[in-house]
Amino acid sequence: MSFSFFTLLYKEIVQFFRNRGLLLFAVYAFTLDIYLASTGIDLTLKNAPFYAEDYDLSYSSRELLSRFPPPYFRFKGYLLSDRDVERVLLKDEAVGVIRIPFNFEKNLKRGDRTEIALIVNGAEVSSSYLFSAYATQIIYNFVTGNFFRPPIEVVPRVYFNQNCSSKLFMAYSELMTVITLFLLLLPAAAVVLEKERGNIEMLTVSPLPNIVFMVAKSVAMGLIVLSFSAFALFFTVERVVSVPFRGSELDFLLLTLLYVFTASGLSMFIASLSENMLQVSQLTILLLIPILYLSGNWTPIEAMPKLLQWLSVLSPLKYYIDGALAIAIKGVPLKELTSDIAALTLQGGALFALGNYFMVRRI
Amino acid sequence: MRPVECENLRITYRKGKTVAVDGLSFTVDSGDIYIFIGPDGAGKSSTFKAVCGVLRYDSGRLLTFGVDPNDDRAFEPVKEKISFMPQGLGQNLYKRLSVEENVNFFADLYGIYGEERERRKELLLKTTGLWEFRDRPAGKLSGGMMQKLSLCCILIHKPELIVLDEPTTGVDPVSRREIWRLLYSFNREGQTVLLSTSYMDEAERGTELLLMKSGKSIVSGSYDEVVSTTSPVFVVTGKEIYRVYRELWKITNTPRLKGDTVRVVVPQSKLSDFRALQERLGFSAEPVDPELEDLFVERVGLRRVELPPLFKPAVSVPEEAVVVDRVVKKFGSFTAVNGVSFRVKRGEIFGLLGPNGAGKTTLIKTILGLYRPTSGRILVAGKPVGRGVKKLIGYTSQKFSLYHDLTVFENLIYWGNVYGVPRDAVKLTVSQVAPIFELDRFLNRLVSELPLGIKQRVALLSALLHSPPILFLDEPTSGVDPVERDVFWQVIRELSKEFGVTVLVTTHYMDEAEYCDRVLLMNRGKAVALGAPRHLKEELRETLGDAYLIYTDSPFETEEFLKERGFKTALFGRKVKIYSKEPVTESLLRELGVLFRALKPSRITMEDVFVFRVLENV
Repeated sequence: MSFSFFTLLYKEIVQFFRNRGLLLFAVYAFTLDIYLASTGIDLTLKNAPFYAEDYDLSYSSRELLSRFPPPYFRFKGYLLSDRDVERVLLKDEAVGVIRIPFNFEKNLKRGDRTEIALIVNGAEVSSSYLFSAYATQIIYNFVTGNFFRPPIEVVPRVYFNQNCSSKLFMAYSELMTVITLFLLLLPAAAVVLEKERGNIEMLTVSPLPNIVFMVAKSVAMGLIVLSFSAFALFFTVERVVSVPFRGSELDFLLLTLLYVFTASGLSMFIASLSENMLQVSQLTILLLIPILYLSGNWTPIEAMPKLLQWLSVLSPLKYYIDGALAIAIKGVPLKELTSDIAALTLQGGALFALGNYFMVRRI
Repeated sequence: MRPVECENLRITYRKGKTVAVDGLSFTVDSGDIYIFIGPDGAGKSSTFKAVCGVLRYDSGRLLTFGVDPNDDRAFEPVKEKISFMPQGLGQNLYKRLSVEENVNFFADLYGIYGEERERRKELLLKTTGLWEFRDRPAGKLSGGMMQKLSLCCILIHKPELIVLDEPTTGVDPVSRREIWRLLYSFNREGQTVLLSTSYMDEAERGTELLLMKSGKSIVSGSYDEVVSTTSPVFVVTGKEIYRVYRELWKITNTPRLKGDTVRVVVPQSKLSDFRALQERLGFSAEPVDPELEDLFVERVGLRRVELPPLFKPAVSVPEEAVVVDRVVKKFGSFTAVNGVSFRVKRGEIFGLLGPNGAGKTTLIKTILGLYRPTSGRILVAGKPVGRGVKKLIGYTSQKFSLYHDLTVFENLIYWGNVYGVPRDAVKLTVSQVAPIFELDRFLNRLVSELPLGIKQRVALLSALLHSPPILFLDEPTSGVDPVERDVFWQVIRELSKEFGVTVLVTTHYMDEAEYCDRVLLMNRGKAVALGAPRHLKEELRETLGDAYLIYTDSPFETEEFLKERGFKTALFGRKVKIYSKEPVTESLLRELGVLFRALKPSRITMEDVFVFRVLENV
């Protein structure tokens, strides 16, 4: 008996492109979604509204306040009492208030000790955090620049992403999230559709070994995701979001190919447990979230509790992100990423084999 | 005011792209039992939904109790007078509520409380035999019981018009007769019944019928008026029946080979040719009363199909092609197949007959190795099912298992490949067979756009590409019109008789037994009867006697009366079917004091066999 693997692949790919809903979702995810995530979600401070409670009203105090410029800050005016401070913070009219005491200038010039209060609206978690960090830095620079020079100077130099632009990170991280989502979803959806329509029984009765059928499915879906990733990389990320890509695109896609095996193995698990599309979507979300959490994509792994740090070894996305970001942002060639490749191969081989095995067993 | 008046009704879907009902006119009078008959996709459901104001019609004139259902506000009060039961088993039931809770819920819905509710509930549940199951969850009832409960739920508020969409499809013949009896008893109280079915043999159970195909009415009127106007119908028997059958095709396009007889409608102009042929071949031809199928066939015309020898299997199988030996299949505590044994001979057409839930599909899947039998032994082509046997099998599952988003041709290439048939070989087969199957113009169409009959042929062809010596077909003819069905059975017969292919087929159409060499009747997982259809009917005739139809204005009283006198009886609309060993004559009936309009000889059907065998076993 000879089966044409090409015919098996052709069918899967044709079916994907004829499923308009899914196709539209894929096109959206690999273009607009990545664009929105990388330009819309910003981890820098922008237009943070603030007030000043200036009791000194001196040259220096005004000079200091002028160091909080747009587009990072937006100065909204002076407040006269602590009650007003409470009011603007309660109404979320400001991220923070800077309070400058009497004799601020006098004390500075005399070299005496003085204090500046930063009253921050903690309800706005990330911007308040950034506000106090930025403000501290600005005040420090103001003081050291104008009044006295400390014995130590810190000179930061940023490699790879000189502007510390979060756009770069967000673009790649969203691309990889989308890739993961589709690798989990597509093969499982394709298998479950066959289950729902009863085609799987026909295939089981036929002499075609089920494993060949399943592998064809994973490979076809992998190819689809891979081509979409290439498109997203060359078009969405490099052209539309226009984020620099330092390494070799081929390396990036090769690493993605490796990841395809891992994730589609997991997808087969989803398929083997689901009876219908609803269950596929539920399980995909159930699986996607821990994979994302544990990958260090959202929170650095070092910042997680110990238990989660150990568990993070299990997230295949972790190795993929490690490797892919190294290629994209740092320009590391693929051959230097041996540990990530080893981990992905090991995990991928095991998951792919197990996933397909489970699937075939469950039919 | 008439319950339904309809003129030139037109209903379309997808913004006019699909026409479901096309210029349909009919009138339902008060007290009618009006039956819509037609295959799936004929437009029955759409019409019913429009009548009940569930679906908007495009144009025409439709009045339900004098009100236009498209006018939502005006129609609201009319809805109280109607009950609509949608297609499918127990669609309107809550599966987790008990039988009684379901009925209570519907009573509340229509504002029936207190004593009246209890009284009606008891009456309905007792007539349907559901009273003792009133605490059981609806989801755990059998198909027939579920359908009866659905009926109870919609009848609780005494609607004036009951609209039932295929209430008997897939229901076992015993429950089917009970459902009909229930409908008759409500009809007797003056309720009007509008009902659809895909079973041709249910036609004569109503007072009026309308035969539908592709959104149009082929014929309508009362059964006797409608069905008696055709050319003469003959049942032909004789030696070399297959040759006779072939020759008959040269005269008319209506012959149907049923067992070892041919049923044919001979147009007046061809009668002399028919007699000449009879002379030459020496067969006997008995004129019979036409049935609805004869009418359908005469109007639409059948098509002759002859297969090229392409499908002659290269491998031969042992004399006992399929052996099923005391097979039991349990799912948890539920026994789906309960100790069934049979042997299918090489080249035989073997039918598994039974209602939905009888265990036919489970049995076929167990034979194919999709389920592991709980106990028992199964051999296909002399071996347990494994890789070696799989290539000897062709299989189409209930839902036809084609890919809807692929074209016909893509499907065929794919399924060929799955059975190891190279692309070029599939192409060659398709190029030869497509004209015969009339698939040429559909090859590049998506399967989702095809009519059911075409899908069925594509599915059959896809199972035949590797010329398997054994074919398994699960409900291949469900919902397909008689012409399509005949094409299908011609192919099956040719495969079996000319090429020696063994065919195992399941169906819930009792009348399809005629097409099989032998049948196994199944009910609730058990084998009820096994044998050649003619033999089974003959056996029943020996125990029950001949069948007669009594036409009467008081069917209920007549039936009760005859029952008391020891006759076996069944209700058929305004007719009573009785079985008697002694010849029943008009004078005998008069002597007994039965009020009747006419008496006609009838025949024992496969449904009779089923009903009496099941009741015997209880």
